[in-house]
Amino acid sequence: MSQRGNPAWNAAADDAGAVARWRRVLRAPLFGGAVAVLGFLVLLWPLVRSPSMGVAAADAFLFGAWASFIAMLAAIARVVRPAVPRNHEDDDA
Amino acid sequence: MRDLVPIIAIATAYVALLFALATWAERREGRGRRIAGTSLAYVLSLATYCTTWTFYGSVGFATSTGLLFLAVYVGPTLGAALWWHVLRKMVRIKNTHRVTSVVDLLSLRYGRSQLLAAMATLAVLTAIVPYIALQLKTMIAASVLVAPQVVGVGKLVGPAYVVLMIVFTIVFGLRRLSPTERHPGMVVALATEAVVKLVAFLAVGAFVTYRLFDGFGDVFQRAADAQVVQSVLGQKGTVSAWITMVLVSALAVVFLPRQFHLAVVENSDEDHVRTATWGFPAYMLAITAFMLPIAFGGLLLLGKAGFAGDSFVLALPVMNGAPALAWLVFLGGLSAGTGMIMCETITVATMVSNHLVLPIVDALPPLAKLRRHLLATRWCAAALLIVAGFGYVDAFGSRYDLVSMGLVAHVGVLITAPIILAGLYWRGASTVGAAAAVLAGFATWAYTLIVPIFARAGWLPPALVTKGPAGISALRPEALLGVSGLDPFVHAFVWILVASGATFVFGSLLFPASAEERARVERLVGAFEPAPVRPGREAARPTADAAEKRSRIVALFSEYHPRELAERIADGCLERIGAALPGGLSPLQLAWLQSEVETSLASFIGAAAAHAAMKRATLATSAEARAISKSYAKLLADLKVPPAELHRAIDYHRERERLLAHEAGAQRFLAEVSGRLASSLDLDATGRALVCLAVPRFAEASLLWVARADANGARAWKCDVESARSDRVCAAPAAAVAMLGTHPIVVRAVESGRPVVSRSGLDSWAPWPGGLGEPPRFRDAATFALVAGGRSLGTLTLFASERHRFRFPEDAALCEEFAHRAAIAVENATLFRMAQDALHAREEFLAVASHELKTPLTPLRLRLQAVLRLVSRDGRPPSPEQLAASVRGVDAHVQRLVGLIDQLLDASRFATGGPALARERVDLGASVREVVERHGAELVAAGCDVSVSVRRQVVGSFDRVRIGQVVTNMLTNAMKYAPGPIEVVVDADALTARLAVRDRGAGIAPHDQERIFRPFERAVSHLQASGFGLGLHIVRQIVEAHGGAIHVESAPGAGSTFVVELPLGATAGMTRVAQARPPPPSPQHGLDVHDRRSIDGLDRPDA
Repeated sequence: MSQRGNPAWNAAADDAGAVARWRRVLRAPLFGGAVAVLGFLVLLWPLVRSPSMGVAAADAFLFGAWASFIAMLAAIARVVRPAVPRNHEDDDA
Repeated sequence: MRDLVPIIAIATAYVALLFALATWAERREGRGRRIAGTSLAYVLSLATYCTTWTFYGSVGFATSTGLLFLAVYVGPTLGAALWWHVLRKMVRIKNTHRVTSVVDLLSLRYGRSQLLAAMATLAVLTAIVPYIALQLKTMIAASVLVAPQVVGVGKLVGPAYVVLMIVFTIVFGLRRLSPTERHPGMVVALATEAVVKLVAFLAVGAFVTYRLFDGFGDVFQRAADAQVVQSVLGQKGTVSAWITMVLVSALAVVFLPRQFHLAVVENSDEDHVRTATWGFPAYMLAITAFMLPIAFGGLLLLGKAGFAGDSFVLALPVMNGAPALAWLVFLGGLSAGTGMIMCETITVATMVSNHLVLPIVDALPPLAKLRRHLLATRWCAAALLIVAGFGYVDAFGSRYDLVSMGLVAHVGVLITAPIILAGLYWRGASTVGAAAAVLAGFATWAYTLIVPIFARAGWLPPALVTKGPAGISALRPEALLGVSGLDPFVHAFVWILVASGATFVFGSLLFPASAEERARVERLVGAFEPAPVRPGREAARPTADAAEKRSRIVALFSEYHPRELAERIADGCLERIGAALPGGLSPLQLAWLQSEVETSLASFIGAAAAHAAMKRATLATSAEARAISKSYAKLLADLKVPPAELHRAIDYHRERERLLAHEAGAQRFLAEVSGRLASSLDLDATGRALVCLAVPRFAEASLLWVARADANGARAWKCDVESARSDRVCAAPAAAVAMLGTHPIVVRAVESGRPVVSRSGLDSWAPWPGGLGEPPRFRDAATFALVAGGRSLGTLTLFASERHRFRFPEDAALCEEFAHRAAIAVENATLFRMAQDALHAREEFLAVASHELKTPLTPLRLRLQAVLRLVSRDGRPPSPEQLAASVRGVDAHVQRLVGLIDQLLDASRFATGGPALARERVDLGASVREVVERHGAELVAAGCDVSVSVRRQVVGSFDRVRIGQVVTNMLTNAMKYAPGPIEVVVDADALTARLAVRDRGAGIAPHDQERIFRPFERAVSHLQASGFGLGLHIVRQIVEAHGGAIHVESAPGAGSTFVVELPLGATAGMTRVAQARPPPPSPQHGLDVHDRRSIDGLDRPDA
């Protein structure tokens, strides 16, 4: 049962843990904050460039970036979904 | 007046329709069929964020500030990235503490302070009135647009809307006392309104963009030509305003009272938050897609007609002959307004009753009876709020546009938001700091935003704004401390953040929270930690009478509820703590009972009022309170730890208990595995037991694949939990088994010896053969290599669906151990089968060897008897010719015996290390011809016509004698099993020499083609052909010792071709090189040489 010194388990941790590790990263509050800041900077860009960018281009950029951000949120939401708790356990605990 | 009738009729009919829908939803919910509890309804209800401000005002905002209006919707989208942590945490706290409103959460976090709650409620109340006014103003303005012929329509529909909204609010949301009880009807009505307003807005957007113009490009081009775009871009679209609005709206979408109510209080499932993180931003993206085209279209078509930007959404269809669309837009605006007013009024009325009225009632005993009329109090508060909003419209509505009013309200309401947010994560935040921050924030908001409004309305001297109070310019409300040049809204926001933030931090540091408050706060800050352990039945002596406590609780609840309901709530509290009536309560049970009663009370009057009520009611006498304190003190003394340490210790022990339970379960499972696997050494039984053991503990289906299960190759077994119990395990079909060996995941697991996890959604999911693992039923597959003795014997694959997912790493560790034991069991079963096969082969060999060795002995004996008779004849010695002929006959039989024994010796030698080679330059063609020539007589006798074709001269570094042995064995084989024409071909390319022996015999079945190269194996029974079955085995050993290979190409009825490939390199594949021996003797001396080699081999064990 020991997980140490067992190459197969270390490998299992690589594979099984690859998804779990990503989930841990995506579920971290810091990651959420980083995503928000990144989105903030991207969506600020047309305002900084205005008026030289042109309103049509700025509008297209904003809506494109916004839609991409929503798609990213949807992807993250799919990954952060908690496993079905068993024995009333909470995976956040 | 006649034009007014359709407005009233349509509005009333629409509200009646919503009411019918809400009633249907509530009845359906009562039957357990959820509509409001779905994530879709949750997401749509959050769209109440999009009020008339969005519906009408944002277009107006876009006409003056261009893209800046988007900040109001981009902010919530960016904030949604943190909802999984922040919003879900608030939902968790709401579920535990029965939070009723955003102010209730504030007071719960900060010492359940009634003073703080009252201050925050006053701030919200003051700020929310302009916001409600904004909705009413818009609804009235929309009525004016659709009925322009009616003089004074605004004054006529205004009161009607007020009455309609009061009724609407009371009927939908204030029918029950407990706001923490969910309102499925209201949620469904709000969700419906969200759909209506989205459809209406998209319809008008499409109308403007594609009917009045030729698409987006046309609108933007014509706006640019008319220099509308330039004017828009040149205005207030500053970065500072964008940043401020993004921050404000990110907070507003969660912390506005109505949004908090819908997102937190009405939340029925934490997982809905996950859907909302992208669903709600997607809704906002859709509703704002046409805003800029509508704004530009309005400026181009109606700008010169004097229409305000706020009215473009409705004015465009009205003025362009689309009455049906105009009515749809009117309904959309009505939806946006009514939804916001209803929801906001419900929450603020609840705050007023809980945090303003109840403290006053507590302070003034003559008003105590009002507690029984809490619901009526809320009705009055709701009515007053809506009337106040209407009054605000009357007083200020004409001076400000919608956006200005909305922003002022937003900032005022959100003063408490940063304080709540900080309190959820900063344990050091104290009640004093929070109260100071609310006061400072509210004062700054009033001074920087409200004072200018009053001054411009003429209620205050205008010089207050232009010159500052008493002429002090540094105190000008819109340029505080000389900070000028900012938008007033940005200016106010910055100063509110500075003032409230500074007072909050300094207040918390200077007046830190008490130890008791810190301990309580721990449960809020650590909301995701497991719930604390409730005391069980103690051995301690009961100190309180349960019946007496029940009567006290009933009396307390009776102050707010009818007696029957109060008794029901009291019984519920006693049941939850496990108290029996009649019976006693231990001190810890009594403490738990107090907590339960307070939480139940908080669910309808809020945490602060509930705490005050508990203090007033004195559920526990002073003696009982002392007993509780003593019990806790004893607990702590026994543990010898402070309370905070105790919490940690409890958490540690809970985790330890969980791990121990998990470990014990794992050990039980592994013991069962060992027992089941030890019960049989039969591979089929082992395989069936293995796949069965993995289901359903780890997965919903399992698949075991063993690479070399038996002589026929691989085998597989599968087990599916959904199959009938008797049919759960079955062997996989042969075709599926063959495909499994090449499945990429199986190959990867076997090659690496490591578990491989794959997901249908995330990885490339190669289809699994045999109908296993098909998505969408199965989502995850974990393949474990069965490794024993350093070899991968096969794989065990577990399939899991969305419902039953793997839990890594816990399950993976156990699965790995399971796979390890499975590998040992499979290896044991395989070895057992091989041992059985070996025994069988040994017995067969003994029978064959006895037969083969005895066969030449009988004629040998006859020959010897004949020689004896010759030499013992009386007086007639045999002639030398007679004697020589007899001895030659004896010698032939001896040769056969020697040949058989040589074969056995060779097989034995090869099994222990391979043949020694004496390499020299050998012409392969010449060697073949020599052997054919040597066996010419035998071949003729066997009826074999041998043709030798040497296509080119092939000279290589070979062991001449061994190569001769190869050719001999192959020819002998052909003679024995396929008498008839034999074709021998010698050929080569630059690197490889090829020797092919082709016969026209019966051919060899595919499944025998590998077997015939094993020792003591043959394609036919030993009764049909003589020999040990070692010939081809020896050939293969010799060829492989030369670094070459042999294979057979054959099919039943088509003859066989044995092909030997030998590398021509001098050292290729050389295992051992013996010293070069002299050239072989002539063919007639072949027997001698052969014998010598055999004897040499025996003399030198290493040879």
